Amino acid sequence: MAALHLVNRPAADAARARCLASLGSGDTVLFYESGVLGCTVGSIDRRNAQPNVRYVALRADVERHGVAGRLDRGVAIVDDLEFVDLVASHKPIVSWI
Amino acid sequence: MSTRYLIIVNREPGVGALAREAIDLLLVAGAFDLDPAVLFMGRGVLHLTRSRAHGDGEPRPLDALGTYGITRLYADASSLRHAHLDHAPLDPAATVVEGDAIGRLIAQSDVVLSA
Repeated sequence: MAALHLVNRPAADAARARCLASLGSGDTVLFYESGVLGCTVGSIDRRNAQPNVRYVALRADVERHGVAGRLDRGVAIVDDLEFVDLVASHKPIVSWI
Repeated sequence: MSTRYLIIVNREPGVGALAREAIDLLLVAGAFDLDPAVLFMGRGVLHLTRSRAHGDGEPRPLDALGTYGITRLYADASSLRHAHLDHAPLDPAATVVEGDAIGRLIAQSDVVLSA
């Protein structure tokens, strides 16, 4: 089973960088809280990304931070129920702080 | 199969409570024979040198890892380079991993705690 990585830090934060450098094939990265500020256009460096990595952002925080129209290509928006589904379908869950 | 634990230590020693708590957690997991693995990343790689927060010969919590049967120690290569420790001897010794290997390490774990 692939890992789910939880990121609530903005783009400049070291924890976010550590997360993006530690992904495995098939993993999912979920941005929430201030983390959604780190998935706007051009802010995700995919040069060394593993294949099949999925990037998603939590809808409530995307709307709260006003970045709905500025998300990076390939970042999908998920709601709270989909968040729960992701938690149930991934292992392990890594909360990067 | 027993649960496989990985503890990621991101904080440098002597700064805040999280770094010490991560090491305490590691030792507790070892005391209960949970065979935890530990990955030092970011400023956490400074735990692997005595030159910063600890004087030479001064005992550190990490010195007890062997006593608790904790042998799976890993260090992030890019973090070591960033801290100018890539050519330094690591104490305690740790396997240096990077990129794909870190992803595999996480994928092989059931529970990952990052602090």
